[in-house]
Amino acid sequence: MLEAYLPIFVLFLFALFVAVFVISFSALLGPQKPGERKLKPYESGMEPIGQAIRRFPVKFHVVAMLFILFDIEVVFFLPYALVFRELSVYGLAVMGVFFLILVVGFVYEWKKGALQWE
Amino acid sequence: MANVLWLIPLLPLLGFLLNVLVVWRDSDAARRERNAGYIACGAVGLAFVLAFIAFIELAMLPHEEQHMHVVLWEWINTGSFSVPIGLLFDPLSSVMVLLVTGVGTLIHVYSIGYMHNDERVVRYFAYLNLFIVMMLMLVMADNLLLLFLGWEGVGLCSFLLIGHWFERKTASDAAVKAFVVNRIGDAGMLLAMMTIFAHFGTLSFVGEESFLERAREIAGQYVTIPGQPTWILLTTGISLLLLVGVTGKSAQLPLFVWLPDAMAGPTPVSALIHAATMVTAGVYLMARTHSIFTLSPTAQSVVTFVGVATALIGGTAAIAQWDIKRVLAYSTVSQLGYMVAAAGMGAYAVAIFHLLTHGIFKALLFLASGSVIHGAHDVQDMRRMGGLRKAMPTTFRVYAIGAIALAGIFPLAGFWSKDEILATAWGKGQIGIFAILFITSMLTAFYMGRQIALVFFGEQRDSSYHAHESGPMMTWPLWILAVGAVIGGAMNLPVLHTLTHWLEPVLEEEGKAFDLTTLILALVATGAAVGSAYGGLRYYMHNAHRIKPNRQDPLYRYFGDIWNMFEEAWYVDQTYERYTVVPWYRSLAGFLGEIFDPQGIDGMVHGVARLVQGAAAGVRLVQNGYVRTYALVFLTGVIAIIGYLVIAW
Amino acid sequence: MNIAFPDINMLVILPLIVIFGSALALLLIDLFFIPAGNKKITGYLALAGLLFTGLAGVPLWGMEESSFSGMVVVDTFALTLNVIFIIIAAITIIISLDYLPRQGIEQGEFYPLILFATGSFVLLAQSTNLILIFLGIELLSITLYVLTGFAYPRLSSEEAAMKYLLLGAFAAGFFVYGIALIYGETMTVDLNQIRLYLTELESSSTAAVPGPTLLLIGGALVLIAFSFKIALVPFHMWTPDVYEGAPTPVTAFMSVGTKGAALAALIRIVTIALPTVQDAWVPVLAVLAAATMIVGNVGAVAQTNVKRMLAYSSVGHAGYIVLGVVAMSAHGIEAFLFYLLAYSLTNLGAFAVIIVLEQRGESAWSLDDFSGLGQRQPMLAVAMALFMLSLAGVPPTAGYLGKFFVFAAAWESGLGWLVLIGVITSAIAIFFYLRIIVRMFMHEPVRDVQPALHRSITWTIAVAAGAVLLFGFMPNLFIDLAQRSVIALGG
Repeated sequence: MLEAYLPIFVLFLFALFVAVFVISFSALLGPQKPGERKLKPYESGMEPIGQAIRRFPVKFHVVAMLFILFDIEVVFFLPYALVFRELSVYGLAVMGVFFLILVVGFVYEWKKGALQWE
Repeated sequence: MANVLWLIPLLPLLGFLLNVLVVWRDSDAARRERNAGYIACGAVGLAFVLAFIAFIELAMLPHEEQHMHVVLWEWINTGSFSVPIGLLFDPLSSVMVLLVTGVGTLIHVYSIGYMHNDERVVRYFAYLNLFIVMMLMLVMADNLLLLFLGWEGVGLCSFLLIGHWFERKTASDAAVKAFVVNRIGDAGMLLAMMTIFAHFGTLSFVGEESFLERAREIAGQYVTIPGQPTWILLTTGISLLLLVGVTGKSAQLPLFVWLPDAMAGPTPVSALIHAATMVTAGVYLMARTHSIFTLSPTAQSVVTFVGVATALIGGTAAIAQWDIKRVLAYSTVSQLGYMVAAAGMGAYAVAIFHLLTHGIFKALLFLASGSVIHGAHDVQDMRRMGGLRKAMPTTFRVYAIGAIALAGIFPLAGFWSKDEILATAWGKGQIGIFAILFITSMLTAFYMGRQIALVFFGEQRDSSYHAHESGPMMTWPLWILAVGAVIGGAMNLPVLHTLTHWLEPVLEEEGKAFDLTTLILALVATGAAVGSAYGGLRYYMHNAHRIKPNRQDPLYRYFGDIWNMFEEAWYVDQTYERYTVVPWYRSLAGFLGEIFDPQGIDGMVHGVARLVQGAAAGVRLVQNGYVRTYALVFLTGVIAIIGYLVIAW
Repeated sequence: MNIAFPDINMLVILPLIVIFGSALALLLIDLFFIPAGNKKITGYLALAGLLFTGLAGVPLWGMEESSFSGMVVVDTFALTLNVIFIIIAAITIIISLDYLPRQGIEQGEFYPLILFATGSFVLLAQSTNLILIFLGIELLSITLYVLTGFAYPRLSSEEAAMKYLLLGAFAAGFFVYGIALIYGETMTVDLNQIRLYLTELESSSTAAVPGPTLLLIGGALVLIAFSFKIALVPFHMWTPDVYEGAPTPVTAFMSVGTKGAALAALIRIVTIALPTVQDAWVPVLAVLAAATMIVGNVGAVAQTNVKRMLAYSSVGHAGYIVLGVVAMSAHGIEAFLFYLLAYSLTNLGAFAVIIVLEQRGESAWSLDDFSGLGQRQPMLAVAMALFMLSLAGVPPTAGYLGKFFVFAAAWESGLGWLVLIGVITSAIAIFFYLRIIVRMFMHEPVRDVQPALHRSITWTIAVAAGAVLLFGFMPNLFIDLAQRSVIALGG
């Protein structure tokens, strides 16, 4: 029973090895010139320390919201892909309707100017 | 005619709608007033004509089939429970309909004169028409629920019309008082209806399946159903609950206190609603449901006692009043007591007879007193009147006719009906009841004599106003009513018993045989009445110099505190004030009253806040606007529900 | 080309197709063709969409079919409710036509949003699957969040939308968790399957097999989420704030529509899936109903702001209307349908009167606005008085009969104590309704209010008032329909 998991265990060991190998070798071989910015925790470009509540342009919110909306809708295409053949033309028609609704939403947001940055 | 019976209540309804929807918008005040009056009178007048035609048609039918019944539609129908909206026009309804529309028409016409230049005259006539609709619904209903709807409706109109001059504190207070007191009676009515429905399964008056018919079937054979209250207990319960309703609407002891205060409304309203029609609804109800009352001797004695006691208290209170309308109001209370007493003794036809004659002559008296008040520029205190005979000869004549009729002096209407009641009491061997009613009838004659003397004889004691006779619009209805008050007794003369016979299909009563005792009684009664009336008249004419504004009655010297007790109607009102109203004022009754208070909202909020203080404070504490609190409350609910399910299941 | 359509009866979702289709189309039409400042045209088009939705119900009349593997049904119950929902939406749109520009918040999206919300009502009335019901609830909630915040620059409106959103999300969490638990117990989200599971469990029940605890708790969580939507105490806390802050037509819309739709779905759940365990949830719902009647009516007494008063009153009415569900009988559901109709007409009428009196930039909704209305606008005052009497349950209005039917149904089901609470609280309720009537007819005007009486709103009020009276006198016009709906439910 447990033998079945042997390849996974090997993979696990290999991953561990790669991680240790990469970090330790780059530490050994690379030049060490630490600076203030380099020593800060990496936060994708945000300041790691500061006020919890900060102002930033509402435009980001709109874009983020639209992104999430469409992102979630697009997820529905994944299960559809799995049964694409079984459903055949009927499936295509139904997904077409679904897509049409999405497009209406898209047209609406475009026309309303939600995608305009300035 | 049976198919168009619905036209009778429909016409006043149309009048109401027309006034509310169309006339109200008219910007020309004079034209508005004129149209409102004409429409209202026309509607009621036409209804009277139709009712008269229906009456004739009913009379043409064979005696056993005198009965018209139309079901307009099924109002509520949920399988087990069905309430039709149906109209019933049988001998009993017919006389009530004739009284309501007939006297109603005259009072409408009179109102045109009386309410001239009133700023809310359209509203007045609209409510008056609505009242007629509701009253017709009450007397023509073919089931108890519909009757109750009319019963509530007349109560509402009464409230609105008493409060017509709502700027006056007394008027709005009186309106609220009438409303609140009547609610107590209505609670009794509701409970009675529920009991009837629970035990008979129907509220209908008509047909073999009606509860009246069912009650009639079990009359005489009191069956005990296992697990059920015995029928006698049941009928006693129902009768007493109905009696509670009757005491509210018909101003009987102990709920009569609203009626004298209701005089704050316009005088034609007092005549129509608080003398001739609405207050008699209780008597009508008892006549309609008499087969229930008959089954319970206990309830009948209670009814008789209530009636007799009310008659006496009302009569004694009436002799000590100074306000011209309050005399009549207490007199109405007293006369209603007569009717209820008659009903209690099982003489329903006699009660209806007195109801009809009283409806005519009391309406006459009220309208005539309205004419006096109108002519005397809103003076109502009889101490400030006197000698008005010269300034208002017509009013004096009709007033005298009404007074003689009320006093029960031969051969006017009141004599015949009141004498029948006395004869009934005597015939039943109820000497005590007879004695009290006899004394009351002497009191009645006495206070009418007193009133005539104070108002019309002697010299005018307060010369600050110039009295004048009222216009023809007001006097000719008075004359018609006066004719009715003179000849009204003819509808049920002894031996002939026209009315009793007419009502027989409904009330199943035979007219009493006329014998020597009755004749002697009649002679004694009329003699006593003449004597008392003359006594009252002479005493106050003689002592006219002692009567001054704000001074005690001359009889006060002899009676002292007893006279005060009379004046305050045996302190019934004060007792309520002391033991129920004051302690509860800040809570229950307080906020009832303050809602309608012209100052309104603050009082209301305070009154209510006291009543529901704990609860409301809790609500407000939690309802603080913070989402976090709301979520917390939400969560508490969740925990409670889940906790309950986990523990209980 | 031969397209192999699976055996799905599309006719069943015809009303849904029509209403959502017209909402989408309207959104685009409004976007491209309707100029700003002339958005009334969008409103008229939305009315046409509602008309088509109503017409779509005509060929379905009398049908009783389910489709999409039993997820959606069409029956008389759903169609009757659809008619009520369409009436509600139509009245809402008509009373908004003048209101929105007057308040300076006219946006074309308003009308498609109303259509979307109405579509979600229809969806809720037709679904017999927990997931689909959740979809309906969410669609409804999201459109209502937006509509609540529609009076955008007004702070109270934004605040209301925010509160509604936060608490709504909170409640939605309970709903999903409830569905998850139910699924965990029964391995299905289909209402009929759940019932099957429960009956099997009951028949095979021995002392060793534990009761459906997970299902009960899951059911309770779902019930809680519904209670939030219907505004049952103690899940009603958002109601006064949100109803007060939202634009008045939206308040009117959600006070009647949301209740009706959520209760329709709840009725499907309890009558189809949970009748065998009613001993567990009936007491819970009964207590909630009792608390709602008490808190709603007592809370309303202390209000001087008419809009807030009506918000509390709507909480109270939620309690009465739930009585019909608690009764768990054919009469109960008839009573629910009748009450919903009566309450919808009455409440929309009352809010329409408030809209007429509401002026721009002035959001006091004070009782003073009503003082002396009887003299200045007698017809309006008479209509308002009628609505108040109907809300208070005074005969012969539709509201009276609604209360009567609901109480009678509860009484028959042996819930005498609930009826008693109902009667007492409606007695309390009479006071604050009467207060408005007294204000209108027995007071002098306090301040000058110019009623904005346009023809459309005048007619709406008149028709609503007429209907309130008509159904008060002739309830059978509707009761027959309600009875057939109950038969459709298998009740």
